[in-house]
Amino acid sequence: MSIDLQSAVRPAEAPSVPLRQGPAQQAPRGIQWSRAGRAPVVAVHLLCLGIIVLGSRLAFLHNSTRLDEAQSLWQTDHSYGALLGTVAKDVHVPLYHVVLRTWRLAFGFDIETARLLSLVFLIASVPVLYLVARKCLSRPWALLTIVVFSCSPFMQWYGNEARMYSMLVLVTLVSQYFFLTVITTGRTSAWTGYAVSAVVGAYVHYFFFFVLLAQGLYLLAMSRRLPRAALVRMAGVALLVGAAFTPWFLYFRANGSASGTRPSFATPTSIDYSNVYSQFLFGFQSDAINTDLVSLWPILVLAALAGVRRGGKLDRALAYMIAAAFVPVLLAFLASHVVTPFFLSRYMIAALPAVLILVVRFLSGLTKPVARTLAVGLLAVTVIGTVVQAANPATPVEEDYRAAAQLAEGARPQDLVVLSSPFTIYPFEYYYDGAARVTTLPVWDRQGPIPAFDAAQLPQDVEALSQGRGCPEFRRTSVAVRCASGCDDLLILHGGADSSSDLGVERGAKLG
Amino acid sequence: MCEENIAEDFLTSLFMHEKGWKSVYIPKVLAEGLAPDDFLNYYKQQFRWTRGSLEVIFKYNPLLRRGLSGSQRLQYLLSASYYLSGSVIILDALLPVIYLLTGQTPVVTSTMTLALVFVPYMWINLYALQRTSNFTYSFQAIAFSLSAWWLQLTALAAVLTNRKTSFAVTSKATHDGGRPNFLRLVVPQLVFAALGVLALAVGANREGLSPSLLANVAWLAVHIAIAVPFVVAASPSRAPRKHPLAVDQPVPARNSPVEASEPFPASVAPALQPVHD
Repeated sequence: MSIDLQSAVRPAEAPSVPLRQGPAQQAPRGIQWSRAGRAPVVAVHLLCLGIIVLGSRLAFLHNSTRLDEAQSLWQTDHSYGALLGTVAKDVHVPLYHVVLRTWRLAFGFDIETARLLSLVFLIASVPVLYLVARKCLSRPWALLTIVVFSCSPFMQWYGNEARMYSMLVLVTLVSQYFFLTVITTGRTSAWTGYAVSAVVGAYVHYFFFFVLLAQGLYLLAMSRRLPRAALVRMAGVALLVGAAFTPWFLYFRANGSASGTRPSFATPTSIDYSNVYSQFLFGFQSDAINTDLVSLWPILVLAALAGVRRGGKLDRALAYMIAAAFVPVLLAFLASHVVTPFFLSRYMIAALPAVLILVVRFLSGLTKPVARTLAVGLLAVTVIGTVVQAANPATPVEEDYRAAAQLAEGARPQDLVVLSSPFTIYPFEYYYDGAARVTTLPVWDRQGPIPAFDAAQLPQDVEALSQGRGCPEFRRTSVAVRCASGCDDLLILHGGADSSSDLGVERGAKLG
Repeated sequence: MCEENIAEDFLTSLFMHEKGWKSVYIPKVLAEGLAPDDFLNYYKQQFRWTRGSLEVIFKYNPLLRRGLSGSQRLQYLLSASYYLSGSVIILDALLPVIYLLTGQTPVVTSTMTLALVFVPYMWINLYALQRTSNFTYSFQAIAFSLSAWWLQLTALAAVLTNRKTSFAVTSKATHDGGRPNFLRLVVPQLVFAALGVLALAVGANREGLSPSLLANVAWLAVHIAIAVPFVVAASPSRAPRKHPLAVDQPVPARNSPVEASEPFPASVAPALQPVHD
């Protein structure tokens, strides 16, 4: 008699139940709205609001305008039609700019007002993150997640920057919430929300397409366990996004596909890849601090071993969070090698919430004393990272154009203020209110691409500027030079009426 | 039954397959056994299995057995060769110690490239291990496996020198929940930890908190942390006031690459025993 092994006793295994949560799933079917359950949730949300506002007021809101912010302000100074044209010639999509212009028209045109819009998006992200985290975590751990998120140096930085990154985080979280809902319940309302958020996200940042791609790949990997209708609906959402994005894509192509304004980045290395996650967790730290932090990576091996536990199966929500934390960044890394380099940590910000959820999920599986200790440690490291990022003068992303403008205040109408690199003219002009004319080296008319900088050509270029200025008796030319590494030096070139006389170079105070 | 080797079941299976017998896996509990209930008996059991499996490699080389199929040869070899991992583990553990003591770099590599390859490899490897075992492993089980390098090395030495070891039937006697003192069995692990601390002091004195030092200290911390459950299990403890429920531990499968086992009742579990939500 042959033994049919297939009919033998099967090992204990969770049955494949489409559209239902896995056995280790802790997500509730709905949030418990009893008073006893609601009060701590509300309290922690208010705490997060306070943390975000406090960080903004104390450290980030009143910082000097940053270079990219100056571009946002300049673009949204135009009418809606002109704004779309300038954005189409840029490497971004227009939704944030349209919202920002509307915001500025309503509330004011200064930089702090513009930043408040990003702060609104950051604050709005907190409850959505809570809902997403509850798909993978119990309530206490989900609350810890939003507190860590609120304290996050990376989120504090971009939540106080007049750019689209906190908006990208918000729309990503909304998309993730609906996506997790559709893979567990399949509700039509969730599919509708998912489709809408997908279209909106496509107009917030190009990187959102990597978020959608990660979701699509996840769905393909789970296709055997999901009903066919889910795959069909996902394909429908993809077509909808494609159809909704096509008008902008055609408009973008008609305006030159940003060929003149595309930034030039280096091909990313493994260090850049690891720095993304290092910055997510610890913020923008000096090279020395960041190198020390990244050197501790072998601890992740211990974490992998400590994460092994009996019965600890990978439920659907957790599996998606893993995909959301790593797949978009990996895709961007690969695309930066295969297509064109565009690998910046701020572009990857959509992956940050998933990374936080994974870290907290890992902690939640340890023994209680160890978990609580490490949770306190995580919170402490996050807060310290934010404080150091705000206070450390060696923070690599610090920009201070107010100092540049102050240095040039003594310039007279017959003087010439020359800025290099040319794109720094935007934030400089935000603060400069002097009588001297401002130009750039190399000379840039702000219409076409920025000319390449040639240090050997610098003295002749300065001569040409002074001659072109039509002011043979110019006495001093102040040149603010922004090095590639972010350092700033003030070069003061002395020239006489005779343009052939030697130019003396005097190094002035450092900027910023 | 083959009585020439102390891992008689393993070798008997090999001989049977060699003679052309077929075998099937029946997923039913046909017999129940008790697992070792204290550290000494666990240690003896592991030593016996290690010695027996290594003898299969060095005296009965599965690759050269004529009656075995290709896949059987490979499976027997892989199953037995797991017990060679102790040498790899200790070599890996000594790398940071060497650097900290001497400043010499035994392995030169781009650290972040290594991280981007090794970290995903570890996570994926462990997940694959869990999936294939229906999520029965725990950190404690893996820590025990990784910490057994000394007994694996001594067993290897015994096989290579053909030194006789006595066959001690694993005691199944139960205790009152307390743990005797078996720290003498983990002296090598304790010596490694002490050596690591000394090396850290030497390295820090030489170069301060450099990134290289931090990376090697992190590796050292990984190896020491892995040894913690092993050392704690060998250390004495008093019996708890309430006697825990007796838990029958099934004997782990002999041909699994990692001897996944929860050798002791939960009451003597070390601090890092994960809890379930």
